[in-house]
Amino acid sequence: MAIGRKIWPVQGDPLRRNPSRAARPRPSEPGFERWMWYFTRISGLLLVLLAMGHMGIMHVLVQLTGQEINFAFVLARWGNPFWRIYDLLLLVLALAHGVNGARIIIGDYIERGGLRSLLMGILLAVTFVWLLLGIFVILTFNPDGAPAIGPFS
Amino acid sequence: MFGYRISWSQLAWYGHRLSGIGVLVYLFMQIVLMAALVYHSLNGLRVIAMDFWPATTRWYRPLTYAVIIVTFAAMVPLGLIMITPYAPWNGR
Repeated sequence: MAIGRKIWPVQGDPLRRNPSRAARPRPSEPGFERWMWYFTRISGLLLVLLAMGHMGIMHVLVQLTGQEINFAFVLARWGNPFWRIYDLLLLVLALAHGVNGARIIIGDYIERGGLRSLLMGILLAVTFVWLLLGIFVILTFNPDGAPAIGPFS
Repeated sequence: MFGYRISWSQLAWYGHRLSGIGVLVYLFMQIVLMAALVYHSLNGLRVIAMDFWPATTRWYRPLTYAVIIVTFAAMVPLGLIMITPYAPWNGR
């Protein structure tokens, strides 16, 4: 018994036939869109490890070992340069992967015109602010200069 | 914007519904995020496999079902672990 419909071998360039039928076919001409097509897939593979690792440590392992995420936890974690680089990589890759996806979704559903330009502009501006803010915090966070926590302390 | 006349009361009703769903999602934020991440990861791996190894499209249907089943299966223990500190059976 054959499971599923046979749609292989494909005719022509297999990457253009979009056999996944879930994402888009690889753009035919080389250029920005084709670069982003590859970037989405490569960054996606890396993000499976990075994002799953982040969630697994911060929201699952922490519970299983009976720990609590507080300021001391963050201090200890960012005292190690490995975790700062890990978080920086996660921030940049996840933001680029996600914003590019949002750009494509906007392009799919909103026709060319003022509204699309407005949404793309907002997306770009928010991305820029988020990226700068995140990089600034990760790189310049200084435990010694950290103020007392909370408004009533 | 809507292509037809819309009253303020109608707008308030939509706003109330939308913000209510927003508050509810925010309450379960980490778990919703985790479920979305698990599904997006598994389905993304399936898409990558089928883009670069077209032979795998032979199992398009079973693989798609597997992604959905594994997501739900994984979220049972993960959801329990994540909600435990706030759960009534944990003495709160």
